This record gives sequence, C-alpha cells and structure tokens, in this order.
Amino acid sequence: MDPEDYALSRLDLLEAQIGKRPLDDAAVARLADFDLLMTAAFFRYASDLSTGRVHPDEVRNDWHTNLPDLDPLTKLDRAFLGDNLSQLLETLPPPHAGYARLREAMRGLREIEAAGGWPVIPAGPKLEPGARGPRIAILRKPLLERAAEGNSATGAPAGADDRFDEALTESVRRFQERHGIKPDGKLDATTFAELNVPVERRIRQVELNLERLRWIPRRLGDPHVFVNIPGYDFDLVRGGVSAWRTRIVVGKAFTPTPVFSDRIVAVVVNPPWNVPKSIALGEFLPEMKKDPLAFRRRGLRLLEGPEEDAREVDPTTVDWHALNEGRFPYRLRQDPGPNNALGRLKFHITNDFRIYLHDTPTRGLFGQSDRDLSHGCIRVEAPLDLAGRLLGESPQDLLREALDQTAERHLSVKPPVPIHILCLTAWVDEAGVLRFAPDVYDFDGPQRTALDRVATRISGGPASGAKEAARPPAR
Amino acid sequence: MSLFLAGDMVTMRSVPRRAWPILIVVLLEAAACSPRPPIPRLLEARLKAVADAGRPDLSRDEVEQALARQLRMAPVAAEDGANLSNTIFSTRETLTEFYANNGQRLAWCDDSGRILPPTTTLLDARESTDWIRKTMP
Repeated sequence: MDPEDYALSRLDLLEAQIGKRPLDDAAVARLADFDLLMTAAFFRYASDLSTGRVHPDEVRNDWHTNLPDLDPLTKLDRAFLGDNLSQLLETLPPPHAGYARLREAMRGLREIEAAGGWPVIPAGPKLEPGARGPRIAILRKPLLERAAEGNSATGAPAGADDRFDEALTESVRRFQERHGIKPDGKLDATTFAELNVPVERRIRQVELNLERLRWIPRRLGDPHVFVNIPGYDFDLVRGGVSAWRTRIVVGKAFTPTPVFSDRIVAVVVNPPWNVPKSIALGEFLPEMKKDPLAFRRRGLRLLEGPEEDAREVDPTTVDWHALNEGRFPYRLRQDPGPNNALGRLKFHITNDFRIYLHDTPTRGLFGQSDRDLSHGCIRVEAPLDLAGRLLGESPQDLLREALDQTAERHLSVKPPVPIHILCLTAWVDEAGVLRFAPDVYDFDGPQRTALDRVATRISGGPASGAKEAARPPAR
Repeated sequence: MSLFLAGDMVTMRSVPRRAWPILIVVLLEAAACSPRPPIPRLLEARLKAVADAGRPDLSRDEVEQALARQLRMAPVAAEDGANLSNTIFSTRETLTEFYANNGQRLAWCDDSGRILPPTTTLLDARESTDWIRKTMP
C-alpha cells in the first residue's frame, strides 16, 4: 500500500496550513478540505487494508470469496465517540498469523532492496556439485546466506570460495525447495532464473499475496484446512498452528481448481466415480471411437436414463462415431475398486463447483515437483490419515469396517471442517521461511494489471508497477 | 435591543459610550471568528464538487482531485467481462452520510483549526502501512 494513495503529502500540506491565523474564509475552506480528505483517506485506508484494493472479481472470475463485512461508517462514528481510533485501526488488517508473517517478510525484502538487492549471477552453463569457477565465487556467499534465512544456524559455512561443495549443494537444495523447484542441488537454468529474480519483483509478488490474504474470511474456523494450490500443499491447522500436512495434486491451468472457502462434511469410503460430462466427451469419447472395449478395461460402465432408473448399455452396441457434444445421452460410471480414479476415499466439500478431495491410484504423481495435473479436484497423498484426523476417535471402527468392504459408505464429519482453498505464490511458513511458488494459474499478472488500473485511477497516470507487470514471468 | 455575550444579556443602555467601539470590534471579530455557519456550507459544497468529479468541465482544483482520488470509482469488469466487482462500500455516499450524521461538523479538527488526537493517530498509522510504490523503479 502506498501512502500517497491516501493523500499523505496533500494532508501534510493542509495540516501545516490550517494552524495559521487569521481564520478567514480561505482558512475555513482549508479546514473543510482537510477534514473531508482525512475522512475520505480513512474510508479508503480501512477498505484497502480490510478487504484489499481490488476485488478478486476484477482479477479473475475463479476466485470466489465473500469479502469480510466492513461497516466503516458505524465503526468510525463509534471510534470518535469512544476516542479509540487506535483500536479500530488495529482491527483493520487480516487477523491471520500468515498475514503478519508475510508483512514482516516484506520489511526484510525492503531492507535487502535498500542495501542494493541480490547480486546478479552471470548466465552460463549448468553447474553441478563438484564444479569450480568464478560464477560459483559470485553466487556462493549470497546463496549460502539466502538459504540460511529462517534457520537457527546463522552465517554461511566455511569452504573454498569457488568450489561447489557439499555446503553449497545443500544451500541450493534449500533454495530450490523454497522456490517450488525440484530440489536436486544442481544449478540449472530454472534455478538460475529464480536466483536472478530482482528483489523489487519479489516485493511486488509479496504485495500481491498480502492483497490475496485480505480477501480470505476473517474467521477461518478451528480446526480448518488451508490448501495452497501453487504450493501443492494441504495443511490441517488446529489452534492456529499446523497440525498435519500432506502433498496434493491440483487442477491443471486449463482446468483450474477454483479458489473458495467451504466445509468438508463427509468421508466417502469406496466412492464410485461418476465421470463428469466434460471428461467423458473430451477424454473418453475419442478413445471409445477407436476402441469400445477400452471401456471395460478401464472398469467403466455406460448408463442411460435417469439416475434411479438407469439402464446399463453394452458399449459395443453404440455407434460411437455418431456421438458428439450435442448428442451424448449417456453417463459414465466407474465402480469402486482398485483402479477407481478416486481411489478408496473421497472427501465431500459443500460447494457449487463440484470440487472434492480424493485418493488416487496413481501414487507416483506425488513425487513430481509440479503437481498441477488434475481436472480440478484435489488428490491427497495420505487420504487414510486425513480421514482419521477428520473423523476423530469414535468413528475409526466404522472407517476400518467400511474399508474392509467394497460397498460405498458415507461417514459424516462432525462438526464439518472449514476448508480454504487459496492461490498464494508467496507466503511465510511457521518456521519464518519466505517461500515462493510458480504462478501455475497465471494469477499474478492479471492482479498486477488490476492494481495498476486502480493506481491509474488514483494518480491519473500509469503506475510505476506497470513496467513490472509488462515483464514476462520468471518461469 | 439586547445582545448575548458569553451567556449574559447586555442591554444597550448599560454599555458606557466609551465602550461602544470596543464592543463593535468584539462583535465583528466574534462574527468573523465564528466558523460554524460557513463550515457546513463549505463541507456540503465540497461534497457536491466531489460528487461531480467525473465531469470533464470541472476545475482542476488540487484538493477536489485529491478527494476524488480517495473515492472508489466505478467497479471494473473482470478480464472476460463476466463479473463486476461489488463495491464493499461507496465512499462518496459514505462520506456524505458521515457528515450528515455528524451535523456537517468537522471531525478531525475543531472549528478553530486545532488538530484533534485521532488525526495524529490516523496519519501515523498510514505512514506505517505496507507501502510499496514509493521507491519502485
């Protein structure tokens, strides 16, 4: 947030002028101006800090949120009556620990910026452990220092200045892990690109994510779940601290997982998969046109008619070539079993987007560093553990019993657990480490543009960040 | 004829002749120093000017512009034009309502131009925000 958005210099000027005598018409006019500007500045500041400078709808239409209810008029009236404006100001920013941590990280980045930023590593071939040379001499110290941030051990370990030794390898791994890169300890083009992102761009990225944290509900619930799409991370939070985490697979950029907050209400054991029509048409229909028997190999059944009175159809009797988007009177269903796309467990979330969490038979995907691979639903690496944690102690027997069978079974999560699906490309973890993730859904660019539009509306000219927005993303 | 000064009624006959010039000066100063009538009028005039800020024929008055900048403008459509931003509040209306609720009185300073404590609180808080653009290249 820029103080000039709140007319800082104009207010300072007016403040200096209004104390002057005599109190003639011009001075009275200045009083009125000053007062109006102060009030307007307060309302804007309160709104920006509480709910963000732009509404997520101005950025993209797949960030669904109900912004916190702000009643600045009543609050300001009360603050004046009770002489407690300071208290009111304290309630404006999001109350979440993650927001405070990220704001603190912003201060750190600004200090780095003031000190001249990070050194630029000259372009060149990939560097691997054991290598030696002048480029290593340039990057060694800053990389060791950056990797040491947030660790209890301070300072860079000793070592030869131009050698890619074990200490540097470990630092590279840590840097990669904090930037959403496969942590192989090698300095490849992707890692170099991340290393050379200037601190000004990181500051801008943090600003975008602070804004996103202003969009989330004020009350998260206890316990609650945070899903961060770019981090491929599922975090069950109890008492304000992370209680359990697991890796996840999220929607591809073409079929993104929407951002929303809702509740996990049930665990479904042995869930059937009712194939969404978009997947049936987009993925299975082309395959069936080539080989109708592929249907059975996949364990899919072809159904026709209403849900309660559905009739199974033999796929070899269907003229697949006559079917298309406009004519597809069937539903596809995959019964529970080892090859079911939803695995053994599904977690039902109340929402309007047909998004749920589920197990998966393709376990190998969790080993990949980029896990934006699904059709929008979220695949969980440790679903059994998650079910146990959501259901609590008493229904554990029911869960075990249901898993011993093959029939579909629904177990209620009581009380329902709030889940907040977010899209953060910069955040600070509980250890205080600032992390960045690839902008898998290209959210940063449109948000920068939206914020620049607001800045243009305020200043009447292009914002200084406009140049930044025009730059291509690092990766 | 009677005058009210500092809560006491003063009759013309009770004022000594030598005191008349002083009394006239005092009355004139009191009238000049009493900002009550002009302030509500000015506040209303300013609010009206802000409400008309979208008109291209407006004067380029700096404060009017600064005020207008503080206000939320028309919501912007998303990239695909599907959704419109829902404004959490409309500052223009909120501003008008705030002063109407407060009898068109000043809130951040008193009628003599003395800054009130909430002003310092807000200005200080605003200076400590997560500012960014000031030093961007």
